[in-house]
Amino acid sequence: MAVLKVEDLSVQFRTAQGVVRAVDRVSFEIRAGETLAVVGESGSGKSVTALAIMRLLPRHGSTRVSGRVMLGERDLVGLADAEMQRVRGNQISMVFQEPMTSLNPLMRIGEQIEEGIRRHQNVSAAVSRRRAVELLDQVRIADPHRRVDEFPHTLSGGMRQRVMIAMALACEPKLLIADEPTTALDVTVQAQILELLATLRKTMNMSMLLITHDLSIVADTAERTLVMYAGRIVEAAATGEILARPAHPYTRGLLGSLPKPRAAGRSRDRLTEIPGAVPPLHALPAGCSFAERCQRADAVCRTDRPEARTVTHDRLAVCHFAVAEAI
Amino acid sequence: MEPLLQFWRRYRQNRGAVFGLAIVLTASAMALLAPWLFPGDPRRIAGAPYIAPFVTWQFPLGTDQLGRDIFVQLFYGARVSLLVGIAASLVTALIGCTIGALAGFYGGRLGALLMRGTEMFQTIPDIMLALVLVTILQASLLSVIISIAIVSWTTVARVTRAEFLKFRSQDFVLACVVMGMPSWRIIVSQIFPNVLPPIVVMTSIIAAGAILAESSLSFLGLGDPNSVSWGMMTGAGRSVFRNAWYVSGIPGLAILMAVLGINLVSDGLNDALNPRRRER
Amino acid sequence: MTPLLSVEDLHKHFPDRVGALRAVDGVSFQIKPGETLGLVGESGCGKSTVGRTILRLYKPTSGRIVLEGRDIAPLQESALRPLRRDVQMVFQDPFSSLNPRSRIGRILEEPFVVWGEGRARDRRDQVVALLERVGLGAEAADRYPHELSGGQRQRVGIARALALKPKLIVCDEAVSALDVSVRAQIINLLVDLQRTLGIAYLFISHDLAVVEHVSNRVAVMYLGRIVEIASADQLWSNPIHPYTRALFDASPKLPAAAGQKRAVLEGDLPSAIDPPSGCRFHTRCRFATDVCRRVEPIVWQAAPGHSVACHHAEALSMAEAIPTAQQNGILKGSRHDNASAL
Repeated sequence: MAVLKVEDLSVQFRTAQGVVRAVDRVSFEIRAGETLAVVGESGSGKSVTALAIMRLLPRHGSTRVSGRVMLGERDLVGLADAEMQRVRGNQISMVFQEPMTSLNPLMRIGEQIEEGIRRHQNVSAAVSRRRAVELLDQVRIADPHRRVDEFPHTLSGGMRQRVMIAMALACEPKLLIADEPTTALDVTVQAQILELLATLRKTMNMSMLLITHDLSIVADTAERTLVMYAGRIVEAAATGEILARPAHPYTRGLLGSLPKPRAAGRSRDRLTEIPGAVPPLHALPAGCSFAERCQRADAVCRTDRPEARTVTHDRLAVCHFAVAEAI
Repeated sequence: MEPLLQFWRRYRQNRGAVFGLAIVLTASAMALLAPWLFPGDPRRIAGAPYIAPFVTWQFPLGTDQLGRDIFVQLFYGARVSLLVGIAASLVTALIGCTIGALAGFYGGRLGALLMRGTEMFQTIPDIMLALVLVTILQASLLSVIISIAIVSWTTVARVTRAEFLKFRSQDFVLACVVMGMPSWRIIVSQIFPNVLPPIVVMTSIIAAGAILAESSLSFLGLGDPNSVSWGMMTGAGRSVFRNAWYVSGIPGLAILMAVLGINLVSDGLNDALNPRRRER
Repeated sequence: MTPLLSVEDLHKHFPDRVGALRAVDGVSFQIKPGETLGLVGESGCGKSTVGRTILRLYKPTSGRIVLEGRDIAPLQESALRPLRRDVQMVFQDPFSSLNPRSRIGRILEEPFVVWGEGRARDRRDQVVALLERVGLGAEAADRYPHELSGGQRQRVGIARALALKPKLIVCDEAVSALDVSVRAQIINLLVDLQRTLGIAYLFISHDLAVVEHVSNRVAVMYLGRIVEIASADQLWSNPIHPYTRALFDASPKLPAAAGQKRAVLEGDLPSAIDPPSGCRFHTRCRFATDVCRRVEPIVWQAAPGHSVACHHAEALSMAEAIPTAQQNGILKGSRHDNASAL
């Protein structure tokens, strides 16, 4: 059962340089109770996808969103603003990268959590406060009765991210979108937060869309992983499959470029490089957008845009050679 | 040539700024051409007093209470106004940038000392200080320019200091320290070009203020007595304003247009020098 | 081999309203010519301050920074300037590390101008040679920084650091801001340059995998101190300090070790203004005992070149895996030996 179904989602920005196709015909679904990771570098469109789902993109004439985002029977793309506000923070919540700027410095932590509760639920002040303390306890903030009345500046980065998570969970959403939730945090704190998210997801039976640039954190966090490149999905599969047998040359390149533990005493090998850089999104090549950097690229890659191919069951790769090369 | 063209392309997107530039260019042309078009003393009596504007081709803007040609005086007045505007703003920028750059780059005790001095100057009302200075220094163009510079450098100094503080700790400046570049070179060749855009904008605003200040001083009779200026014309005509509005009204309008024009230009400079801000 | 750089009991305190922020509080290490010393730790541990103090962007509070036999810690800027060419820096942010108003050619020419080397035409040739050395074409010289990609800009930053033929380059999170696919290019470039030019690196990073890849030796910092220093091989095969172990456990690994439960470190980094007494890690350490709270640990040699600042280092070094509660008990019993040794 899918909690959220994204179909042919595209986001275009008109800029001085030309039309930027930030997200280009992206389709995927998030199943009940699962974590789906979207992995990509800067400019891959992963964050714009999340913002488009939440309808948080700047509403200028220069932004165009098309496609469908189905939450149950409802398409969020065409939803009225008032309706959307009822969905946001209630059925779908979001946690952002920067815990330092996501909290209002002038409001007590408790007030900020309660605000979300009372916007969506008709409860008394006493109830919402009790719920705020409960939530702080749930995200394992020590001494929640005291913390609830403190201001954000008294908290460390990791603690603030916990508060952000508490706020996101206030109305027990069906889906939590976490956009680089640990990128601004240290490794030891990152481990704490990832573990917390995993536990909460299980106890609350919630789905999670985890957006990250870091392939190494998806391993023990996400059931399935999408890899995005230059606004398009290039590969989708169970996380274990992707890490063990990447089917798309880009995914293979990404994994190869990560430093691996070396055998003691052996001299270090060169890392596998992906040559070049991501092409500018306003001037994508006609064929496969990865062709320029791909060792496997052929004439057909430069002229024809590859379609998604089913490599094996439940596993897609958008590459002309994916089926031939996989396994 | 290419960057200049690009600059112009960005500048002309601001319609008001193009209009402002037209005003400023007109005033400059008036100032430059005055001695060729109207040789001789602009303050000589040329005809009957109180001729209204647009009555005779001989005196297109009429004459004042002494029968002097207002049109001709307006051309000569542009010389003084623009000279004061340019000179005062340049001197202001020079003082302000030097003090601001030193305070921002070195910080510490020197910075604190310089900024306390700046604040001290800011507490004195501008026009009062200028009046006192002009009175002490004797009325002349030079003393007017110096007085204006002394009362307006503080703003430039504060902006420059803030910008220098911002750039002082940026990595590219640290890289220069690490490569052994002397401090003065870092200030002049690395930070200053980055700080220039806001200073250019501010200097143009100060030029407009300087024209106004000169007019006020001349209006009060503290300008250079040997040269015609718009402020002096406005001041001289104020006693006959009820009967002949145009004697002070026309130079007053010229001041208004010049100040407006320069402000529009600085607006345009601001847009063109900060392309990123515009795109947002 | 004599060390290129020897840092001895370095302190750097920043004045603060309530006291002094002890960013670096008694750090000692050496770097040999041509080797890479990795410096890892979490934000706020003082690793960047160490780098910047060695570069003398900060004046050290106390301690010695001996560069090729000469202590540069007390020198004034004028005396320092001639020595500056030997130690250069590569920065984290490829955006702010290049002057946005200068062309790349000008940026790379600057070091030669400062040092009065060559005439204009020779300098132009040197700039081209530098660009080629870091894998950029000569045409990059006419570009402005904003016309280049992040990876290209970082190459320019490296080229600038190479211009004066330094003996040591401090790389402060030099690849952290780069995208994964570009990061490998830059790491390979740094390693290649070291092989051909024999430059030593102080490689400061929070990314353990990258540090392991590039470093010969690695120092782990916590709250202004080095808690463990060893060769990369030693450290990864036998991490001893509880903090080092926690750091290793926390950093995500590929492929994921199936079923392995991570020992997640609790709590946050204490304040460097008022650091904990005794061992600074005791507030978060699972093995902390009374002595840890009272007495600062002395450095214990686990093996030649492998030192650990922990009261329980000896016991921990013998415990193969993360000790269970029982072993923990043994640990507690062993503290007397260490305490009496002090």
